[in-house]
Parts: sequence; C-alpha cells; structure tokens
Amino acid sequence: MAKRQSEEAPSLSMTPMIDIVFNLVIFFLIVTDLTQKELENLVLPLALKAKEDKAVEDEERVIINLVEKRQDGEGTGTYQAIVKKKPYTHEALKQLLEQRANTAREPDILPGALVAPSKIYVLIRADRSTPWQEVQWIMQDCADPHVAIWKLQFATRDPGED
Amino acid sequence: MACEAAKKGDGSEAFEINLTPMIDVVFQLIIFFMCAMKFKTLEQKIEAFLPKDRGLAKTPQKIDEKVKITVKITQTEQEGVPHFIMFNEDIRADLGANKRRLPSPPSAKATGSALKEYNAQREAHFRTYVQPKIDIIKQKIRDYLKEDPTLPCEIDSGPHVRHEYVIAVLDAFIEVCHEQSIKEPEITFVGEPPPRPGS
Repeated sequence: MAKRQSEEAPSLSMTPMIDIVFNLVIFFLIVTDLTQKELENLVLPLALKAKEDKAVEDEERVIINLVEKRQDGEGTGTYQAIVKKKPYTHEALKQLLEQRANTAREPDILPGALVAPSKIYVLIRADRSTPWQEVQWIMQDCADPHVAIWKLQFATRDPGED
Repeated sequence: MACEAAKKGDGSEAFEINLTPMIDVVFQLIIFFMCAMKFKTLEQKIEAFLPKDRGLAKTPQKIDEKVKITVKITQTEQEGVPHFIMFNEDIRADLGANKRRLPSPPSAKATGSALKEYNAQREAHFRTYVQPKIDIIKQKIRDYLKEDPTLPCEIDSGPHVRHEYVIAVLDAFIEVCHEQSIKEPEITFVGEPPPRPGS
C-alpha cells in the first residue's frame, strides 16, 4: 500500500488558490473607486454646509480641474483646465462642454434661447488659491447660448479632514 | 474547522487542519464589511445654478428696485486677504499690528511634510483673519433675511479674489438660508470677468 502511494504523482489542488484569487479580485474591485481617477491633487476650499459628493454617472457630469501651470516646479500664476487627466485650451474646453451638453438636453427650448438647457452637471474643482476669474471664465463657457449648461457644482473640502 | 486524521507510512496518525474553508469565510466576511460600511467621503460639493434661459454675458440688466443682500469681495495682491463690503460697510480682515500676511508657498522641491505644514499655516491664517469676518457677514445676512426672507442674495467678487473666499461667502449664505428654512435661496454671482488673455 505504502509503495503504491509513493509511485503516484503529487497533485496540487487549485481550488483554494482560485477561491482566494477571486476574493482578492472582488475586494480590489470594490475598494478601487474609478471616478477618483478624474481628480487632480488640489487643496480645495472649505465649506461647512456642503453636501456629500455622491457618485454620479460619468455621462451626467463633466469634472473640470483648474490646475496652476508649473515651470521648473514653480507656479506661473496661469491656470489650465484638466478633464480626465487631459489638459484643455479655452477653445477645446468650450467645444467639449458643447459636445457633452448636446448629449442630454431638456425637452423644451425656453423662449429666446438657441438651444434647450442641458441636463449635464459641471463640477469645478479649483484649488483654494485660484483667482475667481478662472472660475468665472468656466461659468461663462457653461452659460454660452450654444452650450446652456446651468447646473454647476463646486468641489469643497470636508471640514472633518482638518 | 475541519480536522482529519491522516495515516502516515509508519502507521501513526497526525491531525491536519484544513485552513481553506476558514480563509474563504474570513475573506467573505471582509468583503461583507467593506460593502456594508460607509466609506469616508473624499470630497463635498456646493451646488450653484446659472441662469437657465440665457447666457451669463447676455443676461440683460433687470431694473429691480428691490433691495438685495450684496456681499462685495475685493482683494489686494499685497495683503492677500479679502475685503468684504456689505451695504457700503467695509468689513476688512484685520491683520493686526504685525500685518501678518499669507504664508509663502514652499519651494518646488518641498517634501510632503513641508507642504502639509504650509497648508496648516494657510488654514490657521484663514481661521484667524478671515473666518471672524465671515461670521460678521453671516450675522448680517441673518438679520436681513429674518426681516424679509425673500430678499435676493448677490456675491460680487473681484477677478483676483481667491476661490476659497468666494466659497466661504456662498457657504455663509447657504448656512443662513438653511437655518431659516429657505429651501431654494436665490444667490446670484454678479460681475463680469476680464477678457481672457489671448482672446
């Protein structure tokens, strides 16, 4: 009996390993929030009465990060809009906003307007030191008669973080 | 836990503990608690709405005799602190005798701890010099809205004012409206930005 056992090839049971691998895959799928990939590293302004930013479908919102351009590691005082890690010029951003706004519009065109208001949200993520004019320019682009995005959000910092 | 006796070649028996089901169960429990617990929110947001019918620049100036609660914010480059003006009353951020200015940003090569320290200094600066003024503004808004909750609110910010000061005023308006159960406050941003460079 003992002799016969030693002649058999050792078999490796794959089941426990597959179990663990599947569990790990599920675990990382849950903890990795893919939407965070759109967010640049900024120090946001503080607001006490802000709402929790619940996940919104990607198609329903454009996240615009306003990031200061850097030269040799130093801030230049000029800012650039970044959407999904890609820098946009003023014209390109306006084009993107118009394109996204056209994907979901309300059914009725208001009197005197060129297009119906868009259902899309725009989340503006600006560092707390950003001059207000940078935000105003984005608001101007959103309010352009061809774009007609009116639902804006400003990203703020959780007071509990401090 | 499953224990099983395996016969060794010499006939003696040894107990083997099969850990696989236990690991499976532990992993399932971890996943369950990860799903069930509430994740710390990374960010928050303040909602604002632009005029729905027309573009910002195209909105005609309405002749409106109604009093508005306007908070005008200006900022000088030298001091780096805002001046809030409400009904011609200048609510200046008092820097005190030592004229303490905003802390200088760290160099480009600064490490994580230097950046953290700079952010803490900025936070302290805001809380010491700006927040008391925001509290005064909040009280003034409260007084006006108590008399007439239908008063429209306006934020007139200069182009060089820091984003955080505008958000602080917007937050003050929202907080007071929330206190006074004004469900849909009318808060407007006024003032046009300068033309974009190169346009």
